[in-house]
Amino acid sequence: MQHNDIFHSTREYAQVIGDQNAIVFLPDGPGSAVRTELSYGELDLRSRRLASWLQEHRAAGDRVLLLYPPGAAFVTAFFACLYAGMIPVPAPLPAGDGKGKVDRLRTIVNAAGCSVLFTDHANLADLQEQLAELIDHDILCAATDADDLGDPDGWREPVIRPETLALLQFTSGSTSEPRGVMVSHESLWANLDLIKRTFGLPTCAKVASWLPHYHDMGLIGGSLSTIFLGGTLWLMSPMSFLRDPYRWLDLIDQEGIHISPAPNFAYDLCVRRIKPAQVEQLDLSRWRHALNGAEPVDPATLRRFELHFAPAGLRPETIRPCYGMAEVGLLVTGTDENRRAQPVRVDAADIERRLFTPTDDVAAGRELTSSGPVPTGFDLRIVDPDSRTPLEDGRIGEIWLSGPSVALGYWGKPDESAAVFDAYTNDDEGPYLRTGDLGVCHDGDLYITGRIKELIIVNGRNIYPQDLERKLGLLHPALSEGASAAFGVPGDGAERIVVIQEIRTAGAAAPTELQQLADLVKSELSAYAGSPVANVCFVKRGGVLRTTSGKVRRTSMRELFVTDRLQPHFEDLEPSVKKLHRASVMEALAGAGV
Amino acid sequence: MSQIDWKGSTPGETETPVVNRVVTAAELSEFLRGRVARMIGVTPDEVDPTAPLASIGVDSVHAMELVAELEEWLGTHVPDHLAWSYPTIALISEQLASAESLA
Repeated sequence: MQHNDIFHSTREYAQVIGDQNAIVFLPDGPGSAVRTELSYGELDLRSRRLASWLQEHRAAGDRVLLLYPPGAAFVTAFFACLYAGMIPVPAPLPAGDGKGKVDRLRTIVNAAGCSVLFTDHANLADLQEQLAELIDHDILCAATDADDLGDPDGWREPVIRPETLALLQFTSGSTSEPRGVMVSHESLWANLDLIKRTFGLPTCAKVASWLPHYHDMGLIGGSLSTIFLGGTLWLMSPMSFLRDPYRWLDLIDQEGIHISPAPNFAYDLCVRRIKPAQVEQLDLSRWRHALNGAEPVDPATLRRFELHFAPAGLRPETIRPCYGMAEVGLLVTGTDENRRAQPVRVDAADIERRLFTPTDDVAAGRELTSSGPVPTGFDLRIVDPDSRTPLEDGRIGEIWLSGPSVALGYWGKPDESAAVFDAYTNDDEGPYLRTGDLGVCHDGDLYITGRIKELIIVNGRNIYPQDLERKLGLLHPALSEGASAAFGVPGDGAERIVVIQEIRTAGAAAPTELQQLADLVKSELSAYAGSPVANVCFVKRGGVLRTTSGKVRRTSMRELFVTDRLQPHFEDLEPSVKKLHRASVMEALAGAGV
Repeated sequence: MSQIDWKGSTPGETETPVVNRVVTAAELSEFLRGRVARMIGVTPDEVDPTAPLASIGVDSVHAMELVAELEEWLGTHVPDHLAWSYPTIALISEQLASAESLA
């Protein structure tokens, strides 16, 4: 096919393979309910119908908010927006865990100026009521799951140029400053093609996903890459996977799935929850691509997964660490078909100093997993983030990218877009995308070593420290606003959140009062973030370091914390954090025979 | 690196499923404290049943594990959102015990 956007390729698939399923949705609960199937022909027909309704009410380029439970209805609504020449804005339903979700929805819908809400009948009334309180402009709300909106014959084909936006991908997690990545048709197509080439995916690929459908990995890695390839996507809800991880692997076995992506934590969950007797029931020998991305890849996780599922015929080379981000669509690089991801052991203290020193010393070393070959789809540079000097191979620096996959910027944020998407090296080469990630090119592979952006990633979700800090200052009069630092530290296999807060009267307060305050902080912030915030330190006034312009120095605070030099008045830490970052305390306890 | 010893003997793992009898809130609380203690690496006595689960380090993935383990033990369906709708061990136990006795 001679297309270069997903709208036209989908139109052609509807002609050529109209009867083939694009999506098969498996409802929660094994065997209890009927699968929902959506063929390429039906996808095309329903998209035309809904698009004609959109065109009747709104203009090309308008933003359409998509709030759906997992399922095929979301995919149809997404394509209806493309068919109408409008811009889909996928977001999570504001229910479930985390009070921050409603704040986040408010900022997304206002920032993007969405003039239409598409959802299903089950959620329409509730959402209409909620949105009326959240937004400052008119929004037209409709349920799309009953085939009663619009006339397919009234649809007019949209004008799609390379720079026409295919979606606004709001980076997950941020409640106060969500950034909508402007993914154009050209960059989406380039990234989908890169995914296909990187993994050598066949046309008609069989894909399985339980990832959230509004998340870049679920949307582009799951739905859109399947439809780009003319394949079939077997879809489960995230809840269905979390409840019973066996269902995911059983699906891969039963349907002969080629490719299925998931974040690192999911592979650990499978090892923990799927018993050896169940492993014996599985045949995973046909699974070719177990993509691991969206959060840092832990080499120990890969080994455990490989070992645990070896009796099911899982091939070691199936496990493929990846690296990517919403700012390029999805993928930067992934491990290719013909080799295993090789970890390298490097000096852990040197990594903190941005030096890459391979070592055989098990005690001093930290294992890093290759994210795959230095990508060919991008011009990738490793750059000193302060001096902007490009660095040679073997040096750690910030990863800078340019290429056709790179998105156009952040919606409505020209300054931030310029800073992130429009960077030049000190010898005036560019423009490059600054990823905020630190990495190194070594023996032709890309290794991710850390982050300079102060993002916290928990179970594949991004959490922004400034959201937690802002909320913290509002919780109690004793907690001064703007006098806190939030950051992530390594815990048992996953990142853990730590908050440090100044207290005016810390010296005078009784320990029981401080404990009560810490309990309040932990429960309120956890509820707000929808992820555990279980480590709290209180320091005296001035204890939270700032730059001369008054910005909180989170990285310095993090360093004080992990090197045990913080000296807080009070701290309340999780066991896993204590164990890793308070070794001296544990030794003292062990010495005392505790 | 995960320190979870999923092969070792763990509280509750050898318990036989509860069949045809009413489970009390106290039994449920004891079961959950054992499970949570293992998840976060403390002893069951150190788990405060009135503390919000997230505030002691139980994330949404762990919360679903609790639901699945409860289901296995009780032999009945437990709703997905239990641990979010009733965010402490005490609340979950009371809710489940009253639902059980109604059944």
